[in-house]
Amino acid sequence: MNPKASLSMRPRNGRPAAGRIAPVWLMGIRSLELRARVVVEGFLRGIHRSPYHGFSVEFSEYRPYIRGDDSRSIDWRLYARSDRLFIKKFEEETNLRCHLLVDQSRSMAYGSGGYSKAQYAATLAAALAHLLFRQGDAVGLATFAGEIHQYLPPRNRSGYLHRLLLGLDQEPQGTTTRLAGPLQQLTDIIRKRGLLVLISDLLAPIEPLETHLGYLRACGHDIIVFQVLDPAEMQFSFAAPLRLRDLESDRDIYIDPEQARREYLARLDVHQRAIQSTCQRLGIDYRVIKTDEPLELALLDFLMCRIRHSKQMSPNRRPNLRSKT
Amino acid sequence: MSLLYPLFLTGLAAAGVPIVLHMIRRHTRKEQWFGSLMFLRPSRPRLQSRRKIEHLLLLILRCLILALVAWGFARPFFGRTEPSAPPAGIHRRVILLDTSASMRREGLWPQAIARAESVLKDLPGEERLCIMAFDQEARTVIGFEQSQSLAPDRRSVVARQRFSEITPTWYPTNLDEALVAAARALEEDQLRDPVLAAGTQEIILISDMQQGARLDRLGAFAWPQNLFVTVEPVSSPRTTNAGLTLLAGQEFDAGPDYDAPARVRVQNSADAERAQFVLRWRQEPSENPDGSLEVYVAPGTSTVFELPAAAGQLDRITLAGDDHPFDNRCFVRANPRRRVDILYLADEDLQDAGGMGFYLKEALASGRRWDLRLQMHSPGTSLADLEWGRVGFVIVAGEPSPENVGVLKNQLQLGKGVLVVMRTAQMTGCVFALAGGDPGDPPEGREADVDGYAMLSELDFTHPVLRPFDDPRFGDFTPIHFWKYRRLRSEDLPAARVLARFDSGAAAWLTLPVGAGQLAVMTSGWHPADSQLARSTKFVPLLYSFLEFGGAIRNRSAAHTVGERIALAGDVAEAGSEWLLHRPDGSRVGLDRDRQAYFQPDEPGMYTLEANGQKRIYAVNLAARESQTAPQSAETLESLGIPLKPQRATLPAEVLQARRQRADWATLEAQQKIWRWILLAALIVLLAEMVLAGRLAGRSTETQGVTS
Repeated sequence: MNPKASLSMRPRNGRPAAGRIAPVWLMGIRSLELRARVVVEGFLRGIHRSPYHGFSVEFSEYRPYIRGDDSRSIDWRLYARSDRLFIKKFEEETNLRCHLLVDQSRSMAYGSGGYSKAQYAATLAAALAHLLFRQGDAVGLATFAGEIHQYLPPRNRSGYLHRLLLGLDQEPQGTTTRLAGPLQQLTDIIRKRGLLVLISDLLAPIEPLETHLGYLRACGHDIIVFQVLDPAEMQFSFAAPLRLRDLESDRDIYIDPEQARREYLARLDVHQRAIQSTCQRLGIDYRVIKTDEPLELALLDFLMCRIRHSKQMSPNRRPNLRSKT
Repeated sequence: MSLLYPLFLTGLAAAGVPIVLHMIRRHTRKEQWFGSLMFLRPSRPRLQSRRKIEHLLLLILRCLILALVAWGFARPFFGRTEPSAPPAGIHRRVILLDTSASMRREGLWPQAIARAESVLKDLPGEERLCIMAFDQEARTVIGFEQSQSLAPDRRSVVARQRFSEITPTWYPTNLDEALVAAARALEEDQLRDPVLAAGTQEIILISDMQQGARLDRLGAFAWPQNLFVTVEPVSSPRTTNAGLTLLAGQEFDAGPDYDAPARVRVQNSADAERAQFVLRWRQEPSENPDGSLEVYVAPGTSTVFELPAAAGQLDRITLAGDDHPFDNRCFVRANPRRRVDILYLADEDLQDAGGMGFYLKEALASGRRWDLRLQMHSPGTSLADLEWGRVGFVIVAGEPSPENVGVLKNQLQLGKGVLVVMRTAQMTGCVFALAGGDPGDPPEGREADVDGYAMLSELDFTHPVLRPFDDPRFGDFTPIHFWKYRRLRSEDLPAARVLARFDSGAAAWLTLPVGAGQLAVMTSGWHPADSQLARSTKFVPLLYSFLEFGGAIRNRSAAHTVGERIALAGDVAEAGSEWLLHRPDGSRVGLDRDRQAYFQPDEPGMYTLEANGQKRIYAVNLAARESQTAPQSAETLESLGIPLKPQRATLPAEVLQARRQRADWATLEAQQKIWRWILLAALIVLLAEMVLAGRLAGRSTETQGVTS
């Protein structure tokens, strides 16, 4: 995939690119399933207009035709070009097992734009689940705050997507964001290698993160980390002095933005850099998503991550959504 | 518009407080939820002035509230602000000089005179002055008009001369009447010239302010405004004073067999330093050393002692041991019992319990005051030769002969009292004959038809005969049943006053004046054949009430005090006689019985009333309350609504004028009471401020940042 292609879908001047759906009115749709469908359909239409045709072709490789093979599998176009018979070899229907690990701590309830980070993360997770379901992949869900609240093992069967969406459509409840516990639990639960998508604001100490993500990577899992942050958290755009109350601990402090902004941004930057460095070291795809960005960009990032990962795994093959597992 | 208390307008400065508070940035009330505070540290609160005032309307309301409150406290009013015209400046004063008996104490009178002269000396010459002396009653020594007619220097001379003529009397202290008289003198003086109302007025009271001074009437007197009293008290360095009072009921001589001790009350003044005194009988100049009695009376208390009966002609009890002798004598005169004969005209046996005389004899018991004797005569026996001088009352229970009717009618004209008890219907003619009607054509009397018994109703308790029963405890006559009575039409006796009627409406008891005497009629007897009256508790008091109504007895105390009006006794001599009063000092005063009905003793002692060779001796003593010489504070007058002037020094005219102006303003403001409306406006603004502040507070404290 050409990285420049992805740039064309990025918002310019903070606005969504033409044809993208603004999160503000996307979140106005109450149904999470509908939101996910709108995002995926829009995303796929955008993809079809892009140069990357055939992303949805679900085969793994070609092999020479051997007598006895099903003639319907012969790639006649390749035969026309090369004058040789090749058979399209398809992957298994459910050979990708994806776990969506979604943060539902109360810090995710913050939102400055009329919707919360939790809503944004749930929509992102639902869109990913919808997309993967369309491809026949097995999708599981684990929601957590201090520990895993709900775990749905990866499946791909009729009605399971709806169940996943019900699990995602929950109010944030947890009073703390601790990543160590849920990741430890997942290490114990997941036996087969697969894809792990962590969607969280990661507003917690990162020391345990490195340890437990390292374990999961050592187990052979592919990991993509989406850090969902509100623009106000990233820019600290408050103007007047105010009392800020922590959503999780309920602690409140007086803040004068003029005094506190610089230090806040510096400490946030250190925190982000530490996460990025950890992910880079562990070979984890790490993306920071602002909640005012179109969700399609996140899906595109997801796709780009998979493409890049596929290239790393099989550089001679055509790009595929799925990595070899 | 003017302000009564403009100083409160300084409170307007408080309106700046909300402005300053609105200008200062303080801790924000705005609260915001945030995802995590892990990158934040609390900021230091900073106070800095704002260039832009927030919530301007709220600020205006708050300033307005404070301004209204300050304005309301300043008590605005509409009216003239110019000072009122200066008053005429004429000051009027009344000097009240106490001349009561207690001022006879050692050293008091010179003090009082010196104080009065000092007051006179300090008074400016242009002031209007009145000097009054008082004891039992107030009397003018120098009136306003007289003092105005005198030059200032001459006025002092005349006043001193008058003071030298005044001496303490033996009368009691009626301070209330003196103050009222002084206040009225000032009012009358003001009536002569209304301009005087603008000046000040003052009563300067020079008195020993003894506790025995009477102040009762002040409670019912509306004291004039702006009339102050200045008390110039005089006091004696020696405070022990005891007084003597003979207890009531001992002023009659019960006879040689009645040898009872004299009971006297000794009261010691509250500020006394001694409590041991000696009582003894005495007849000046001699003294009975054997009859002394040492007594102990604690300060501020009184005790009754029994002194053995006097021997011989001793007529006074003296007390020794206190500092002031003016009230140490108590004159005792035991008047002989007066014999009163009750003439009873009836034909019956006094020992017969079925007759009326039996009960009458038992009821007329002799006491210490009267020697009542019952004389029974047959109605037919001629009364012309009877010694009528001793007869005090006549009870007719049988039909008298026409001759006796004439005699009785004559006695009635002379002032005797006659009670006719109609035992039969035929006595109607007697009643009408005594009442002055034609005995030859009397209205027909008849026996009433009584169904079972009759009861009394419609009793006139305002009649002197029934007035002693004018009390719910004593006024129930319904238990008395009457079996028989006679009908007497009261319409035939126009002058008659019906005391009581039977339940049938017929007259039961009635009275009518005949000449100088009183005729009473009972249409039913008190004997058992007619009624239960004789056996009821009402009979004896009713009988004595009839006797007193008829003039046979007088239920008055014979203990007399100085200043009391003592009625000239009718039993001493007949009307028209020449009267002579022997005073204690030995002088004699002739009295005209036709022009004066009483005499008023002005000093304690024995007074002898002599007429037609007969003598009657009156023992007159000092009023007991005059012995209560402990001083009372001047604040007692304040408690009775009399404002006291704190100091005698006159204030500068500017100060007085400012005070008057202020009083005018206060009156205007009190009439208008604009502060009430201002307070109401402040409350309305306060309500609006509360509503607005509540809304703004709710908005500013709304927690933001959470989106569900």
